[in-house]
Amino acid sequence: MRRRRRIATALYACAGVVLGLIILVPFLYVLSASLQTESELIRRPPPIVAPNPTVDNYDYVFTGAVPAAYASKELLRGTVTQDVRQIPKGLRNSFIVALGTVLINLLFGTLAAYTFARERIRGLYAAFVFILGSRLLPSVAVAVPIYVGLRSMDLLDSKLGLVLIYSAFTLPFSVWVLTLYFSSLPVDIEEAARIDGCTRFQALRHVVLPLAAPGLAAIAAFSFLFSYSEFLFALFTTETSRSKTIPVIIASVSVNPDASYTLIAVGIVLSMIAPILFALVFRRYITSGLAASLTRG
Amino acid sequence: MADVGFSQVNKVYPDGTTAVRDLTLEIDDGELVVLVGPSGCGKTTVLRMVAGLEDVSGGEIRVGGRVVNDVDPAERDIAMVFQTYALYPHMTVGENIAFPLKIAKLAPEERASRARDVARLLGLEAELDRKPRQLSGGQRQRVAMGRAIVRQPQVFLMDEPLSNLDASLRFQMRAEIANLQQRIGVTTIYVTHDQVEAMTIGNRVAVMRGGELLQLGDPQELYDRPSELFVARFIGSPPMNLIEGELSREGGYAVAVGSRVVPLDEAEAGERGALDSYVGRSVVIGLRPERLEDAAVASDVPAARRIGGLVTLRETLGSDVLVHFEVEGALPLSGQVRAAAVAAAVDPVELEPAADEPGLLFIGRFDPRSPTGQQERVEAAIRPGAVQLFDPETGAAIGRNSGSRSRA
Amino acid sequence: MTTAAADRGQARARKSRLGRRTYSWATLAPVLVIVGVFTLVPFVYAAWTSVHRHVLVLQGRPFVGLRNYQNAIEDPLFGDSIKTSLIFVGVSVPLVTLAGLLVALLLNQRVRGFGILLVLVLLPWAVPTVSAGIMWRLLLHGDFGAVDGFLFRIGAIDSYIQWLSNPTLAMASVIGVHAWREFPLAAILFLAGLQTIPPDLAEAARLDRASAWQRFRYVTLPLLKAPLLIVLVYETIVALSVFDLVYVLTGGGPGSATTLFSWFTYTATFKYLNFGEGAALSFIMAAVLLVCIVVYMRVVRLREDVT
Repeated sequence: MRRRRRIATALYACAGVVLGLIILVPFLYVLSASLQTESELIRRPPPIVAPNPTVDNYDYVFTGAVPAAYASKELLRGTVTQDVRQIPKGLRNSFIVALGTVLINLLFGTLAAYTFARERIRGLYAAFVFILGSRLLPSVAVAVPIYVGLRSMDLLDSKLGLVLIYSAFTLPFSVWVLTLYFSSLPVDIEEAARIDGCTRFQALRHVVLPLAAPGLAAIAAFSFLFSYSEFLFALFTTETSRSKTIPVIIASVSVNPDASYTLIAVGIVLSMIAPILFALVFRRYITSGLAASLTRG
Repeated sequence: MADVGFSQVNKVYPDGTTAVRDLTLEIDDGELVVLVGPSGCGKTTVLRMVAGLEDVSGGEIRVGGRVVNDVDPAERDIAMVFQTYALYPHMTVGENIAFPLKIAKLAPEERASRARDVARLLGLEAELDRKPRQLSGGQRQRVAMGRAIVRQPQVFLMDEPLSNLDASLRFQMRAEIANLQQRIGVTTIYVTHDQVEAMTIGNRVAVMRGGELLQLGDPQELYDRPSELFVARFIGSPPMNLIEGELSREGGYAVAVGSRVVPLDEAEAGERGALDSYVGRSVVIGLRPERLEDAAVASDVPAARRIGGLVTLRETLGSDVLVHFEVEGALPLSGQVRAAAVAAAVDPVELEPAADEPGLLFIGRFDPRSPTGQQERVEAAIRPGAVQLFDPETGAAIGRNSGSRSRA
Repeated sequence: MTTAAADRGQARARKSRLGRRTYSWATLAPVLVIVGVFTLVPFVYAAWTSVHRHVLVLQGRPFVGLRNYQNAIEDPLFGDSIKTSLIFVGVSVPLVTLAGLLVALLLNQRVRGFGILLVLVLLPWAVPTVSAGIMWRLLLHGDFGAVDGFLFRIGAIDSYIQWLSNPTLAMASVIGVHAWREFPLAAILFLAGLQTIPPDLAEAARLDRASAWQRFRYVTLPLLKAPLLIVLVYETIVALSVFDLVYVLTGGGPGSATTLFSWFTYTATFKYLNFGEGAALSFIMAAVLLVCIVVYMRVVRLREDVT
């Protein structure tokens, strides 16, 4: 029996290693590719590890210093492209837009969810269903009308426009999760706070929000990841580097026939840093947020 | 420190149910009044109305002379101990206790020192830095009390504070709360469904049923002179024995208890003529188990004041013995009476097997020397003044029990 | 109770109710406005557009009834893209569900070091789809890709496979990358479900001498119904709306091999600038999604009654 257990554990461990590789290898490859020169990379087969790792590619993206390796223009894809210089701005835009969306979710989502959880006024259920139901519509259906609408509000090619769109898409989920969270908090604690002298807002600040912090963290993570990665709407509402987000930029770089693979790799790596960090830091809240929506949904 | 007054207070819910009906009652400064009754009687609703957690549908509630109907809970200067304690899980014990002071914007040093004083008073000093989830039930209860005490409010409200504790702890905490309240001297309204708790803790007890206040008085008064059937049956353990029988008058008054006719003494008959309208009719007769005794032991009681029965069960308590016996010649109770009797039971399953037939089975709390064994015939002697009579339709006490229902 | 007091009480109650009502709707207003303006209004506008001729380069927007829908359905690519999407959904949803379940079962075992895996497993899902897509495009490159390089090195193939230029392989690649990206979410949901299973249930089953498979079937599986439903519904919606991946991996090609229905809708709207038809297609898609959701809920609920 114990031998069977040990064999089983060994098998599990193997499976675990395989899983880890499946997940990690693509990331490691692209990281390694970003640290190579084009000539090193374009080979059959490509090197496993970067033979002479260099940060020249990153240098170019941020400062415009052309890497030495591109001095010779022998290879077809050896040219260096200006597109890639837009990456830093893209990162900045994505970050700002994502942050804005998170703030709106935290602020307005919390207010609305608290009302849904605690008040019993006629029409609240209808409003709740309305908000949640909005997510049943596929984004493509509202793409053109949103474009027209943004144009009329003079919000095309703007970070604010993106923030509003992404908020509309993330608020339903946030409100849903937060309402569940608030509902699960026992009412008598809030009553005790009111008797202890708290106004509604004081009760919210001192008692309810600290207890709902895990839910808030989960919401922040989801909203951030969604806004940062969104592509379709960013694609057709943005035009200039004023508001182009990183997915749009690296996508256009990747379809640019002049772009070298190493630079594309740099773009990918840079685009993934923020989401990965966020996911790592908020990991616990993401999983518990999902679990909560599961058990109480 | 303040008095609390209710004038015709009503609570009606949007769906039409009336939770509290025309409550009028005055609580004096420093008093501990207990609201007691079965679940659903409205006692918690009353408490929550005083706290401001429920709106008042009609009437006025006054604290310290001020009408508080529309005053926010935060402004009422009252403190409440919840049944679930409602401690803030993310704060330490010290922070929990000091929280109201923090909202009142007291300086940190003063907050800390007052919290410490209260903690010392309640024996919680060692726990100040721990979180509620690390404490035992009794400790949590004390933290809840501490949080209420620290504010030095005008009124304490307690919502079944002991019901989540186990029996032995409840016994101990009962005394502690009573002592504490006397020492601090704050007006307290205490809600419970346990009549023993109500009797032992309260200066005065208010018995409620179906949203109405049935009787208000000090514990002994409720025991000796219940104003109506439900109160009579609710107070006292084991509950009062009830049976219906005809009231007759030949010379003196007498009632038929089963197959016996028992004469009433002066105390039981009450004021002259009070019982006249009931002569020849059926009345409800109440006999407390404590006022019955095995005739073999209480030989001084005249034979006429005895009822006979067949013993079904003997429960030895050590100090007494509870003897259950079937009363000879007894008939089942009529519907209304039975309903009141059953409603007064805390948990009908707890009562003796024939709980739905109260009136056939009596319980006597006899001297342990009582010799009558199970399946034997017993003669139960009725002590003087033990018979209480009630109107079979209204349930109101008749004869000597026609005291006032509430003190205005 | 006097009527005056009753009136006063009622007036007070009404006032406080009014105050609470105002407060409640005030807190809901921002969310309702944002969602309404950016979801409901566009939806209504899209519905309107779908029954009008709205082509960017043409003047006038006459009402055309259901002609947009008709044209859309009659387009040869319509049927093709539906077929393609069906294949895609039919393969990827079970694939993602199964992979998620297996990974969840694996991660539920107490093996040292699996804590790291729990962290890693989030990564494919957390990074932008576009980034993941481009990453895999590099890996699957027919000339210089690392996947081909690896397979070549270990001798599994002797000439490079054109993952993205061969119609069947392109579809497989899209499905594969999609699954790589989506399985973490399924895994986490299933894991959460597994961890709510009280350990005494499993113990009782073991004591009853149930085999591992029996234990799985009668104890674990029934309790996984909730996550299963959520995973199925959500992944179906995602699979039907896939856009980012197609854009960066294949652009719909080669030919129309990976032209999923969502891609077809996109090109109709943005490449040919036929907004009317695009809107019509979107509504068809929305209807399909709704049907899927309803079907799922019925099926899973049915199973509950049977078992």
